[in-house]
Amino acid sequence: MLNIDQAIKFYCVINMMIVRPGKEIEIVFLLISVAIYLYWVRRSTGVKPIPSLRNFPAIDAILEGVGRSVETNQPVHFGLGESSALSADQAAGTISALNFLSYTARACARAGAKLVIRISPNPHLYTQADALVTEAYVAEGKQQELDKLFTLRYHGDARSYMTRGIHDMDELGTAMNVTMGALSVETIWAFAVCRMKGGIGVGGGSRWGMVFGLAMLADYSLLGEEMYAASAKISGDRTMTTSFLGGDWLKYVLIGLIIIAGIATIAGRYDLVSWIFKR
Amino acid sequence: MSFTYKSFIPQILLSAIIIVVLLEYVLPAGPLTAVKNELTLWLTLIGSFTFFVAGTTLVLKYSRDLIRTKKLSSVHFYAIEFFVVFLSYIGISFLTGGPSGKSYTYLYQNLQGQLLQAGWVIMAFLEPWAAYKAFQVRSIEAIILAITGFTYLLFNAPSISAAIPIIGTFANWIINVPSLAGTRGATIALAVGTILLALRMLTGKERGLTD
Repeated sequence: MLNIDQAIKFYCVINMMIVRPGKEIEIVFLLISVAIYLYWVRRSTGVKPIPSLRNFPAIDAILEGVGRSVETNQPVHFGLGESSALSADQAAGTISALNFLSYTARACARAGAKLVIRISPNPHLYTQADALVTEAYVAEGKQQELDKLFTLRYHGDARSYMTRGIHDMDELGTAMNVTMGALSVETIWAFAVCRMKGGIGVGGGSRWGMVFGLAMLADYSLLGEEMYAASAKISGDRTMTTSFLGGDWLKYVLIGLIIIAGIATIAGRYDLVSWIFKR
Repeated sequence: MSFTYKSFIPQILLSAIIIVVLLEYVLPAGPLTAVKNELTLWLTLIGSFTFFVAGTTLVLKYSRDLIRTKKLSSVHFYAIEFFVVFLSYIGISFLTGGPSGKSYTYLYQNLQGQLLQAGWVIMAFLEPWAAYKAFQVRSIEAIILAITGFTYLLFNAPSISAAIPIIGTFANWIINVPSLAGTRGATIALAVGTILLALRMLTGKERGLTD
């Protein structure tokens, strides 16, 4: 029979053969993430109903703004976010913004409202925006009404994105401004100009730094992960909705880890805390 | 090639690469490390190629702008501006020793660099104007943000923090407790979103990137 010390040594040797030292907690978390994700993907393809996401006033406000655009004959402005990109930690927010673009474009095509899109200073997003808007107008059977020269506006870098964005909003009028994605100073100027022109401001962003701007400037805001949830809701994609619900479970796991680390700190077991958080 | 194969083959490649990178990350250093390094090089090459695609997209976009707009307008101006700058930089790069050459560096630092700074200067005036114009306090979140923001502003005014020392304690508490907790909460939400996005890409369920 092995005693405790021998058992620990045996575990350490086996552990070092299987996983890279220091990565244990990350592997456990990754496996839990995969398990939760697979469970919810399975739920999305099954017949069992999935929990529905609550409605967000910002989603209804977009339809209201499109109606206002038709009544006032002023365009809806959509800003894809001056820092948006399909890479790194901006990707999730940018994809949410693209879902909103698709939703807004379909609503505009359906109602016959003019749409102006400020495309982020990132050429990769130009093709994405082009494809989504074309798809939206085709889906509504209004492809003849899509004037890409008017609708798709690419302004180069962040400075011209701002100056020409303000110019467009001022010159063409603004029935509504929707600003979503990875936001920076756009959060402030876009909603200020929108307010000046009497438009409705709808915004959403996942970056902590601009949450204050959205809360204080937008008429309807989606703060932090509310944007992911609203994006999953409007996409109508069951996989996206269920993976968002899986995200909630992952957060419960993280909360559990934080509680364990808190108890370990109180008990003076700093070795356990440093093992969990690598500090 | 049918649409199925056009999306299926890249998806298989993408999933295989993600699995290899994940396994290499968690397994002890071994043969997979060399495979992962090679794949990283490939990814760098593919990533660089997307810049070519992006450049082509812009050339096509501005060419369309020039051709389709009948009446002389700012659209022409912006398109011509793009082509002048685009071709100038390519020409100078080719003729004077590439992007690290003296002329290219001079142009970049003294023309583009200064223009970028000028852009930020405009923002420095515009942002406070926009903030004064549009800030409103009409929800619980906005009230909390207004109180905390105003407290921190007062703390940064030396005369006020000298006259009311307790304001410093309160301001530091705001920064070190609720603000830090909020930042960490937002980071966790962002990380969870990114993990799920990666898993959707791995299993081919992310329509936005693979279709």
